[in-house]
Amino acid sequence: MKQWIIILWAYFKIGLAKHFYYRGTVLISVLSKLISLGFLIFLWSKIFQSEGEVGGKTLSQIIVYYLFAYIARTITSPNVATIIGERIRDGVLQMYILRPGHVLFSFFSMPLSKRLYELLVLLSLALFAQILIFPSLGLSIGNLHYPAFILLLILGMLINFFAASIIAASAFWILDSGPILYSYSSVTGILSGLLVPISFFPSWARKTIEFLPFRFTISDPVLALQGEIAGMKLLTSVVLAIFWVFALGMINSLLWRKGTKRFDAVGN
Amino acid sequence: MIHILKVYAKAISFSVAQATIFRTAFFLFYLWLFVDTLIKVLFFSAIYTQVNSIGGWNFTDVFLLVVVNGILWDMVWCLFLSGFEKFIEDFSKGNFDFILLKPMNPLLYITITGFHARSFSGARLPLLLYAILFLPISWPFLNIIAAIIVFLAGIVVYHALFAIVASLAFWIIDSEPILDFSFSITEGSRFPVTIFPKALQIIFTFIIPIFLVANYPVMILQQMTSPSFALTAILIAIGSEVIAFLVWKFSIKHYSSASS
Repeated sequence: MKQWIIILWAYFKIGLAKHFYYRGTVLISVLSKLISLGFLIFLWSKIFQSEGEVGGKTLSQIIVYYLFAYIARTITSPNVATIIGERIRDGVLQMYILRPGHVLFSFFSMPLSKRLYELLVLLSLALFAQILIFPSLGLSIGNLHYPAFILLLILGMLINFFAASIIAASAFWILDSGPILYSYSSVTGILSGLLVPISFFPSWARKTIEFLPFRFTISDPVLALQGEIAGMKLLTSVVLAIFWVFALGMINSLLWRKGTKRFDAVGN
Repeated sequence: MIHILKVYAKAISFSVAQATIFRTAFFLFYLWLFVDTLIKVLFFSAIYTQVNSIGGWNFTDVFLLVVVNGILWDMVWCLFLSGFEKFIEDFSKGNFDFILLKPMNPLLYITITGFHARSFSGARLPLLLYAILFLPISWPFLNIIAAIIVFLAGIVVYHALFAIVASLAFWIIDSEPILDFSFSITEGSRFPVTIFPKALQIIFTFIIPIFLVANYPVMILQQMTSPSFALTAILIAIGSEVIAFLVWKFSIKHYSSASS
């Protein structure tokens, strides 16, 4: 276990060094996220121009929801499915198999360093918005429950990593798994509550979404932050998230064991 | 001209062969495009369960916007975007020298070799058909013609936009994030134009004309704006191409070979 932590930490440091070197790339990535967020804020501001409350939420609650949903996505969705899928398809995975530790270690740790770097920039901006922009627009950010947010965020990150890695493993069996990986990214956008809060869906759709693990990656952490998931509900959410981490972790381990046996690398 | 058409025909047949060899991948790609559009429709339908209109746009208008925007992106990817993407990816490896050696204008070469048959699988067409058959729409003939003109002008505008983004490769070593950044900006085209403040509406219609591409064809079809806007769209498209060509020409002068 100690050995694993040392290896993960080493990959994390390599990733951090790389991303500190390419600071411009990280800043552009943050800016891209802010632009996407900006479009959604314009959309919701327009909707709330004629409505005081939509789906039981005020404009302030919606803006805070999206602001932290984007922050949560930064941590929980490190977009590894496409990267892993490409490495398998191109045969480059052999390099990763030869590295110390499990083949997935570097895919987990290196992007995480970039995400933490982005997270720092985004949190600074969120703080700036909380202190300066929100009061000037007459919006209230409310009481935020950070410990619950962080706990669910860590579990959400693990769920998303295992789910992404399971999807990426399809590349062991299908020559071009690109479209599956893109579909996965689109589908999780809606199932995680990133595009629109889950409470906005009709009851049958909500029930289906609540049964799946993706809500733990964005919706539940943000609702816990806003205090909408608390007490018993929070406990249930944490227990279910832990269940999904173990379930997906086991499926992932099984698929990768079978997949790497099939893997056929050509080259030097 | 015949020479260019021959090269274009070769690029198309090569791309079609590629798409048909990997039939499973082609089918999955088709499915993805369909799912992607469906997700965007779901996003708006979830909002429309709570409200009747967004900035004067009802669900039918937004449904059409999502579908038209999807078809437009398919066309853009199919006709040229893969070429610009590959150019940006390969530039730092010194591969531009090989393009310069071709007996053709480099910008034209990048555009026509960027043909990507798989992207225009027609996955969004069933949704367009659904809109025509089942949604309450009535389109006058003149509006249909005007919308098609604006749609085509939109493709030209995107060509110009991505040519300008690609020309940044001559100035910035790693310009891939800039390409991603331009994708983020163009994401605005999938929202109704009326959600934005007036100043942004003007900027995104006339200066960085991303609203021209999907919003205006739908607005013309749904009679929210006059069909005469098609003339403005043609002028914007020509203007964009001229600017893109000048920027490309200026940038290419800055190029010094990286390979031996």
